[in-house]
Amino acid sequence: MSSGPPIRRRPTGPVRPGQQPQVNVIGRSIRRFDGKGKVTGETPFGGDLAGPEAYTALVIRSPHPHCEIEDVELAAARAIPGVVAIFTGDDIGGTNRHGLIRRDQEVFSRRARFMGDCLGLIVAATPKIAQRALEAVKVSYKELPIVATMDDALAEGSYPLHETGNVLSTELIRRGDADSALAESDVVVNTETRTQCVDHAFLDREAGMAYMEDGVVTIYASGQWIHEERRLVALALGLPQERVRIIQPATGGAFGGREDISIQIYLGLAALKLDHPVRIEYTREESMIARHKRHPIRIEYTLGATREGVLTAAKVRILSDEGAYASTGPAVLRKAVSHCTGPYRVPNIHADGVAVFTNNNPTGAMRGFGACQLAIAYESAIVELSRVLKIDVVELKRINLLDDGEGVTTDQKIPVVGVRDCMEAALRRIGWDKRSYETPAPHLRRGYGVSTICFGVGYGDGFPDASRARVRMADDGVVEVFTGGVDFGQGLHSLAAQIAAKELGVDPLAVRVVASDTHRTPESGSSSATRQTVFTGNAVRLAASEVAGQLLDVAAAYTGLHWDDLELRGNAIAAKHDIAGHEDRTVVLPLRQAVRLGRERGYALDVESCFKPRTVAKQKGTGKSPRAFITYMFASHVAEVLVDIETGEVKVARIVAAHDVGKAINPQQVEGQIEGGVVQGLGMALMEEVVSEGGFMKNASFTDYIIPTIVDTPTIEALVIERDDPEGPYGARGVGEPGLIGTPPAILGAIADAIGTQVHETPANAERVWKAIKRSERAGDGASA
Amino acid sequence: MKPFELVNASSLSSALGALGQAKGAVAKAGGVDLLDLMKEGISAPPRLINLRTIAGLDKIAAASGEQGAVLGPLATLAQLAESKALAGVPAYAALAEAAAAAATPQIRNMATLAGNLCQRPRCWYFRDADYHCLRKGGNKCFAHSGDNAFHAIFENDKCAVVHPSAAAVALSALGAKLELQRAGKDGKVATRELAMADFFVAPSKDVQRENVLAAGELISAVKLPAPQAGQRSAYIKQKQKQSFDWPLGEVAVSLTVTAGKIAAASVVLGSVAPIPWRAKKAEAALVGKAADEALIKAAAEAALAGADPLDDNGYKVPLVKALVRRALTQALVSK
Repeated sequence: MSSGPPIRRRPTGPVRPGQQPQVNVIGRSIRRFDGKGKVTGETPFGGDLAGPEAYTALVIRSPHPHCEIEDVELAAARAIPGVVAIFTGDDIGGTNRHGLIRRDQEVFSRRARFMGDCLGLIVAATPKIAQRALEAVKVSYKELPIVATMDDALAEGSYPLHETGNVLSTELIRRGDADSALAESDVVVNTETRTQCVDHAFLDREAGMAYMEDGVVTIYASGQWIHEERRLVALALGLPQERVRIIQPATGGAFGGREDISIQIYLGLAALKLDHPVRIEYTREESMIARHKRHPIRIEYTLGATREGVLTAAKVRILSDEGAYASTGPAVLRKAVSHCTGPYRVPNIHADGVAVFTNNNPTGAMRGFGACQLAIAYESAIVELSRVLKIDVVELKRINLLDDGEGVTTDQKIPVVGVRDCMEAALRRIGWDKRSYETPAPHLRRGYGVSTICFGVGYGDGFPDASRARVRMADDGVVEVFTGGVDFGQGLHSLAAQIAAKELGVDPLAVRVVASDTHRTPESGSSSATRQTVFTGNAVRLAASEVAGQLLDVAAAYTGLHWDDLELRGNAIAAKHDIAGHEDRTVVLPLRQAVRLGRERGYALDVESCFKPRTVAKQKGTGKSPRAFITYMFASHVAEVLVDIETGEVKVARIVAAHDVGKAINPQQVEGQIEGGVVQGLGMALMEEVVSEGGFMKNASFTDYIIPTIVDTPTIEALVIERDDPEGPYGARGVGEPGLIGTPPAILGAIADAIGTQVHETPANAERVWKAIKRSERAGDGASA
Repeated sequence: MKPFELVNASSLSSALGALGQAKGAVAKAGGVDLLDLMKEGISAPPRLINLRTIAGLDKIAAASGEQGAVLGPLATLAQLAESKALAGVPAYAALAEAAAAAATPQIRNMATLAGNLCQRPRCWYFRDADYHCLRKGGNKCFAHSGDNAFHAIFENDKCAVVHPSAAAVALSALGAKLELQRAGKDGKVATRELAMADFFVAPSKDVQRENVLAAGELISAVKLPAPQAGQRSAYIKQKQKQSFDWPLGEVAVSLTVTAGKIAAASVVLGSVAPIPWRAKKAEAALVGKAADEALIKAAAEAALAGADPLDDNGYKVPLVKALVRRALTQALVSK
């Protein structure tokens, strides 16, 4: 086991002339073509696009977390000079509803269920006038009882937030007989984990513009799936989709926070009704109040094992705070339940999940998507089991981690399970066997924690998940890639260029990428679920390789050589190996000439491909699936922390994060994703928490909602493990979310190692750690000052 | 934000004049907190008198002989943090440390000493225009029944805000005096001088204000006592993260050690009360004694005696005890 696959060294820099791009363009840290503009500030973002002539739109939001709107008095606001229009539900031409899974949220609410609900839209000549108009609006409303917590939602006689009551959805897993197996287990441990509500805290607030062009509502706004956003906008406006165009500008972060509709319908409505450019830019407070959040989840975990440490059964109860609307909640709950035993071999599983509505912010997609909350829970149970059995946590993992071909929670058999490789690599890097517990001061304790996690890639569960991409040779010999997939900083567009360059033997930086425009690019699905490298990556690869095949056919016909003896390399078609007349693998046809010849012979050199792997919907009654997700990611993090046992303060000294990404197509981007995930996970582990009180968010600003800065960031070492995925492009599997998922359990495990007791509630801030120390002192174990 | 008029002052006397004349005119130094208050809808002054256009108000005069250091009201936190006249003097170190640990580099470059002292509380009920709380003229402290993890553990029965100024904690420990000026009726400048303790206003006296500054009055100078032989000071705070965060608790101490014994001590706690909180019992426990671990521990216990936490902020008691121990230890080992 110690001789895992080699850890990749990072080759850097672009491909230089004279090198052979098709050999090494994959696995090379190609410079991002969008990097310079973003670093220098030249790239415009959503808030930079509108000209001075554009009107400003401002949302009238609910004055109360739960109320019937009786009247919105607009006359005074409308009378203010410069106020162009105020729109309400009466102006909606289509349906007044939106929502990704259920259309349960009103565009203009008659009944508000959280503070972000929109009652109307002011459009004015300038931001100042819009603000003055907002202040002149008088809302009269009838307060309804507030369902503030999950317990409130489930209480007898609780006020129903939706017609269907306060339970949004339920999920289960039934495998084997967990009750009997637990009864027969030598050891059974119980833990209760509570995770908090977290905000995405991306820097680029919701901002964009819209205008009419040839009868088409043209909207510049940042989402994560422009084609789905177009569907929702078209539905609301009552227009055919062809009359709605969404273009995504450069975007500063998403993390799932742009999956739900934000400003798109407002912009579209105002532009359509007024036939004039309109802009919207949320303030930070508005952005935090209006946007969905990460689900706070409560998990009761019962885990059984033999005396030797072999896991026997898990019984898991999951309760999830859905907030006011469904958002992607049912899918998040399914992800949580379907990942409830992580990368462990657990033969008997009995898991139940319930998602309930409250008057808090809707909760939906955020990096980790339910799997990260469960990772905290199962790793906490493993640490507890390790303590009770007196078996080192790493040994316990070695006994129980899945091997190739074994089944995860849903009993889906995973051909390549890289989790052991990840863990052993991370342990070697941190120097596990020689780890030191020395500290610079007597009130400090050092600790180490190890997490091992998994994550299903893609939407899965039978959802028709597909990416399309188009690759075309332009007449100037430039390769063009068209993808509707959005890039919010993760590097998808550069990745698409890199893959097309590999297939067509050109410089990746010379590829022209046309992206994220519903009128010009094919639908590439959502940039979420860690899916784009696999999905759009494969679609680009399929399209590009078909164009390459056409070009080889052209060259073969032209030269009389067999196409199998030719390849695309260095902007040319060249001999693949020594063949008569081309002993030095010489160029047989420059690319541009091949393009011209191809066009003359009737080749389009323009291919759209689709990658649409099939997954299998969950089985009724068991929640099992032979193929819930197309592939799984595995990762292991090791965290080293210093805990101040007098104050409870935790400092993370070092994190090693090993991820089996299958193949790192661009290693620097892979490392960047892992590092970013680690920092975001550190925030979740130690400090971030949306505080709501009776439906009112108390910390809707970066003054009070605190996220880690560089000063809080430890040394991060990203280790890239490469065990090929059978279906991913070049063996790649994805990388987006697991970097976050692995971090909180590693840090929490390290805290437990340092103080001898676990903190079961996140964030594990200084106060919670201090209280855990005091509890354990009273119980007579653990650290003491 | 409401529109306002901005007047650039050319001298302190013209600023005082402008403040005295126009009703509702407010002085703007760095503008860091003022702008926040205006954006949050807590304050809407029609006219701002910009003090940053007055030359020389940021001067830091080092102590010499019997004369203590004199700090210009517009000295920025960054200047205070880096000043040799403070950081290089053991008696004054606490102020430099407090300034250096505040907020972020960007804010420290803008925020001024006087502005820091005159900040309004960061209580999230006070800062939310939707809560008409006691401090804003309402009839209720929402923190009492609400989320009060960051609120006061001393003098919290009326309004449970904590005073937000780190400089105030350090200056109180150093025994600083404030020079205040306003335009008198005769057109001349009226000057008064106050001890730190007399500057801040507890809720029991007036719940709607944090200090005694009258309308049109400005802090014109901050005067430190001359350093004593054997005097050293220290400041320590705890935040939830390492930068860009408000403290959970903070402590400034000043000790004068002569012949192995503590001749004079001041211990001031921050982020625990609506005013900088002088821990007199801790000071009494220290004076006249030789410092050792037991004494430090006893002083820390005494510092928190009488603390009366709310529902969610009991953790501040052990936290601040640990900070008192560390601040005392740091002051004692400093040279």
